Amino acid sequence: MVTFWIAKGPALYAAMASAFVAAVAMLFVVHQTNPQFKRRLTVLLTFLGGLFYFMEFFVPPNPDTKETAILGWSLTSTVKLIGNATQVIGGFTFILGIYNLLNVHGRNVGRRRRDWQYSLLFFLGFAVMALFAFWRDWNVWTRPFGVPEVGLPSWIRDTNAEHRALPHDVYTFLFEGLWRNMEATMFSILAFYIVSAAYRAFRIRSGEAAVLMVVAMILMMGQVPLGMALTNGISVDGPFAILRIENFSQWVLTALNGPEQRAIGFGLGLGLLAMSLRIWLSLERGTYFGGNA
Amino acid sequence: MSVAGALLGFAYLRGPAYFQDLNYLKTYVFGRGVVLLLGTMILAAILHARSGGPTFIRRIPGLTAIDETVGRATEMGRPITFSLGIGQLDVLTLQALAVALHVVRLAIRFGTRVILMMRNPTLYAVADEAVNEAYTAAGRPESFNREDVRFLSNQQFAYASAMVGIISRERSASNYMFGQFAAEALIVAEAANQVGAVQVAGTPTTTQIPFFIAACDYTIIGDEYYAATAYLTREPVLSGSLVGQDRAKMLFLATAILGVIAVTVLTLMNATDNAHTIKLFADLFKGAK
Repeated sequence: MVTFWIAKGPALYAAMASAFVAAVAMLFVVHQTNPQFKRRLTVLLTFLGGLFYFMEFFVPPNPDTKETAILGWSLTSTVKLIGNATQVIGGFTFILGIYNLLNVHGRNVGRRRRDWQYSLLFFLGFAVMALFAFWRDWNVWTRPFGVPEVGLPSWIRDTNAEHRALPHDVYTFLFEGLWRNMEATMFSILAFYIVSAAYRAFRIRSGEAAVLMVVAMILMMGQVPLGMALTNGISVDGPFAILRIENFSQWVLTALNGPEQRAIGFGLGLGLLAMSLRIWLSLERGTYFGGNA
Repeated sequence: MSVAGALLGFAYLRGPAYFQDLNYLKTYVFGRGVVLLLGTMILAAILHARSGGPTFIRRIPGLTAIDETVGRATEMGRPITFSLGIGQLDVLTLQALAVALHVVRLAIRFGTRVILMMRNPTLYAVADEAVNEAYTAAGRPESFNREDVRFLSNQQFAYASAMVGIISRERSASNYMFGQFAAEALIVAEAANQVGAVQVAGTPTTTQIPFFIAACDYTIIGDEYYAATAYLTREPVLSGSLVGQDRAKMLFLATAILGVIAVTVLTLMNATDNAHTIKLFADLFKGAK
């Protein structure tokens, strides 16, 4: 892992403040430039970023260390560093996402739109979950700021699960007791939807639907004892063993379905390569910004 | 390609000793060479198309239906819902966003509302700006409603339940699902089906394709997904890259056929000698990293 500098204590706060000021200044400068310059800057940065990953992939690695390096510069380690920086930038955009949620639900409540009570519930859930999550982990997120534990009341300090502490209990109730079960409920609805979708799909309306129906029947019969019983009379070792339903369904999966999946995979891989090239070389201009699709 | 060849020759002559090891070249260089060759074929086709070379794209029903589904929503006076899937801000989701912007631009012309939903906050930042610019470019910035570009949740099933809720409450006339999907795909598609929405879905996630085929009216599968923008815009650069992809697929097909022949011949000859020319060819693709 490439490490430029590890800051501790006051230097950490100075580095954070400097980085913040530099980022704001840079954004301000870019904001003042004309759209054409911004577009060129985007193209240049996209190309440079892509070039780095291009080099990291195409320069063959050292077989012993499995690391890719050019003139002693380890590209493999730098990829991890850039990955961390990307995660930080992604973290900032999360604030935008939260802003969007607060904005939409805030308007619902403020204008008493239909079902505005659900939006109120959103605010309640958001606030309670945030409060107890921060409270439970307070010593984790205050540690870098050097907040002393001594002197704080015990109801703040005590987040230990063994002591049946309030923040831990409430957080566990919200996360394990409510959220996980609600998620499982949503997932379980899938079982009913599979049946209704399968019913529609298996109605033979066309040649393709008929093929789908026949293949599905073969695969289902190959999985259940009743299906296997139908072809039990065919010898396991005989020349017609392939016609036993469990063998035939396996053959359909490996000899027909497998190659088709792989062929789709090849097509997708090539599509991904082409799309990546177009984005890297900014050939997609006009698709997202400044043009008509 | 010639630059890569020159660099490889230089590495062979003056680089580390392992560059002279045939096994190393097979394991670490051959695969990269193939990818470079495919990339070059695609770029060459793009350049050819840019210079005015003719290109033909076959009809893709799911993409042809986009105009029709936008028109349906306009006639019914109900909104369009568009899900960008559960992916991050990557190439797959950017392709979904490109299709979404095409739908938005069409809908702006008819004054139809499009509700764009996503799971990733980084994608939300890009999508919000792109949709805003689409309205400005169409000369109707006042029609842009920020609430129609929605970040729902970064949790898979919270995202799914929010989508189901929006589709049910708004009674969307047309529902689009493009991007990466997992278990929530069928839940959302069935919810849209229950409100009578016409559905177009496209995903590179092969495990979800059967669910989409069962639940949606039009499904875009495989590399059709990446052909979407080229098909919708007929932009020479994009069409050219499709031609390049097809040529690369031909190369794959030819290699696969040669491989099948090579392995069949080897089996018939009962050849076990590792130095056998056909065996060398058959083993060429094994273990490349």
